[in-house]
Amino acid sequence: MADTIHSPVALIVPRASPSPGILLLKRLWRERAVRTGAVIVGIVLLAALSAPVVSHLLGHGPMEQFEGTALDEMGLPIGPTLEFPLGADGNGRDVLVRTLYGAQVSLLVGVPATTIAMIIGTAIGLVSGFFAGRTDRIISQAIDVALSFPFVVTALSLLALNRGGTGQPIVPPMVVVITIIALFSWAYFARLARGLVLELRTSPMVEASRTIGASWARIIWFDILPNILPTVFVYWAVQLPANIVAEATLSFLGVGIQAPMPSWGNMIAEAQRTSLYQEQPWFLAGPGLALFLTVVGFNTLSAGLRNVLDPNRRRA
Amino acid sequence: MHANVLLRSAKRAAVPLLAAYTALCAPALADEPKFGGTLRIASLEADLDAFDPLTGYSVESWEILRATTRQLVTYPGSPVGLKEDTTLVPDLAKSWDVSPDGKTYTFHLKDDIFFSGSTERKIVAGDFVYGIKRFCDPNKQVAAINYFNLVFSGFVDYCKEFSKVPTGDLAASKAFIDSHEISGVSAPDDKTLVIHSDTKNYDFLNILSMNFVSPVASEIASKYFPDSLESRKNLPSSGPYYVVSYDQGQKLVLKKAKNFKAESDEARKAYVDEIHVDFTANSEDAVVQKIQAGEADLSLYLDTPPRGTIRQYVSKDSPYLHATNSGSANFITINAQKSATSEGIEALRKPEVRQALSYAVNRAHLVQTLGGSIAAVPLSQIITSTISGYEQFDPYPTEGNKGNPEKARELLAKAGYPDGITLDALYRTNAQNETIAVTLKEDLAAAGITLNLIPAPASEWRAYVQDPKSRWDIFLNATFSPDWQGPSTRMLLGGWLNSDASPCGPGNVYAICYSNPELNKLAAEAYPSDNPTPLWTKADKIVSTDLPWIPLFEKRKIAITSDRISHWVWSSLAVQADITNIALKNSGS
Repeated sequence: MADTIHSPVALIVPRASPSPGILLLKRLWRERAVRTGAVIVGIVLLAALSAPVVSHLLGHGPMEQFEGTALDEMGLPIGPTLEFPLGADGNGRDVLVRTLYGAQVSLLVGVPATTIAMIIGTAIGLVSGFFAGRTDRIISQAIDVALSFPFVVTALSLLALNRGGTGQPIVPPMVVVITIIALFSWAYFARLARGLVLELRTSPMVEASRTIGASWARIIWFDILPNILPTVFVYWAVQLPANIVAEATLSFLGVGIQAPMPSWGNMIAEAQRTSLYQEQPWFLAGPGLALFLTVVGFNTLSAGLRNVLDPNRRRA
Repeated sequence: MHANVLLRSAKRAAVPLLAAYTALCAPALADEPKFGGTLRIASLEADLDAFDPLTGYSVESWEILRATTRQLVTYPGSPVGLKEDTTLVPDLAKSWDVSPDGKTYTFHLKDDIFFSGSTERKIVAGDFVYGIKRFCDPNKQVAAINYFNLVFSGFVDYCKEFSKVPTGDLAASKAFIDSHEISGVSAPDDKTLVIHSDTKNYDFLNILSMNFVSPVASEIASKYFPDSLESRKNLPSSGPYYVVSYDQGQKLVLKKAKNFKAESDEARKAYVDEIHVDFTANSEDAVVQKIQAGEADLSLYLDTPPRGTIRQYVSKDSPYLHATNSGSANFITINAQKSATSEGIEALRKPEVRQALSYAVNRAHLVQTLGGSIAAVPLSQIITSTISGYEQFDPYPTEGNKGNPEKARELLAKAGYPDGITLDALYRTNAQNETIAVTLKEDLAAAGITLNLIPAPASEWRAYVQDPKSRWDIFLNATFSPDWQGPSTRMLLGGWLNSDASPCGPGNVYAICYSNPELNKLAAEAYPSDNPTPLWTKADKIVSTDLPWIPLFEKRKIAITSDRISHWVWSSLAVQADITNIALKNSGS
């Protein structure tokens, strides 16, 4: 009898004590969108990481050309075979290996660009929202100006400027692409952070801190930042796929990642410009589907995260 | 009664006779090209690179200028191939006399020849003189000045004076042209044009057949900067078609001139009523699709159709795929400007390094990526198969034209580069040229030659190559098309590569500053010769061994058309379709 009374207690006690982190993860995992998104993103990450391994296994470098085995005598690429699982491109290169390396480029550009945008945008948004008044008006105007720039046109001009008198890029194109994408996405973070801070600065919590004489830095760091970060992180995941597409757009237009280095954007552009996708559909479908999958994965994940983390959503 | 019987029997006989006649003649009638209709051309580039006889020097601009300009003499086009279109016929000139020493040509112009478009007046000999005087306008110089430096008496001195006129001042240019004469070019009356050369030139008439030597209405042309948008819109046309409208980046509409007298033109039938050039399709794919869908009949700026498209047409044995030997070739050109001093350029000044580059190129691979033997053949010398003086020659042969990276490494080591060299390599960013660049990068790497690829969009590469300050060691997509087929060896060996004709300077299209006294001497011997062919063969061997450029492959010209085209003609000058001689099936469309 006593046993039956004790055992539920014994079971309940450890259940009640897991750390907030684990609780959060559990809550996230219960959300189907998070699960689906995480699996897809996991696949993409795995693909990016496995690129050198696959390349080694197949014996095909990302820029290596196999004109003897992968192109016929009219220069048309072969379709999927055991040796070339997704067939070859117009130069006799392995589409699968290039697509996997393309995933690396997408993440190497997308993740830093979005993170830089997040850091800068959040900092500016914090300052703007917290100090309000004239500072806020000026920064808000600046944000509006930044948001009104047409992305492609400005990016094209900036990338053109990157060519020095010597004809060689002054800064590596990848760095410029990251900078440009960050430049075009910080404003979204700033506006988001500003809105959140404006709401929080008049909250009882901040009022209380003020009353006990906390410095503004302390208030921002300990009261406001922890409260807005979850939303900002969610937005990071929302912005990331958009930025991966932005990289693909620039590479597609020939100003991002330069040939022969593979990127999904320039692979899609090449398949389209040479019309070879009509002969070898995987030349286009490989990078195209990879891009689609990545965007879907991050979008699903971010939608799920928002469902769980966004306080307004939860209330609704 | 008798008459009735006769009539009846006549009627009876007439039916089968008529049927037989129809049966015999119908195919002939159907084959006869029809007049009328609108020829629609889809351009890959967003605009014409030039649309003025002064500046047009690309095969594409010449294709269009064929419709809006006429010359003293020209070629009538050939349905068979480019090599077959080498017979000169009178164009605006009715006839000409040649002086006994072969240095003076007197042309007599036809009577019923008129401008159309911005002016409709009669064409007179003075319009040719004005056109030639415009050649060295400091605002915009003629694209191929090297020919005229050599063949017009007094031209060099005239140009030297003209170069002192400030640029950007139309009135100053006009005043100079009005007050100065070229001693070798004159119009004693409206119907007579006299052109004198200091030397005898076997290809004098061929030189005059180029679009540059077209009549220009001075009262219109002097109002605008050469080849500016305004001048393009107001181009006084001497050809069968005039400019109706020209929306940059959108559409060019040409219409047959009312005062064009077909009987005065032996070379252009002008079958179609209108020619529309659409500039909105901006990818190879879009252009090809427009043609396959019947929205366009021809392409412009599509160098070679995509490989997949060629195969589709070949496998269907389509009558709408036209292929011919073209004499056009691709080279790697080397930045040979004296002022350029990069490490790569210094290295390329050594013959062993250039030879290594030639050995490192896998020409078979390049041909394959272009679409195989229907599209191109490997080239190992400077002049090409359709040009006089051509004798197949390969100073640096490799097995199956696949290149020899080991030999290349050996030569590099011999030249003092045992660890290989790095070159800044400019390339054009369209699909085909990028494929060439990427292929070369990969193949040359095997021989220890690293290429830093510098992409140049279509709108930029020309200016980039011409700017002496631009940094590039080699240009991977230099192309050559003969200005005319057959006796046109002068263009490459006597022109671009001859430092007497093309001194290093801005007038030279590719900023190639090659100088070889041996070549210059042979060229000087060849011009007045009655049998220049062996001299050019010798010159080709010398130059091909010295490698001012690295020959890659000779292209075959391939054109695909819509099924509306019933009559196909090649133009040797344009190295493309002859749009003034192509006819459409349904004249109503």
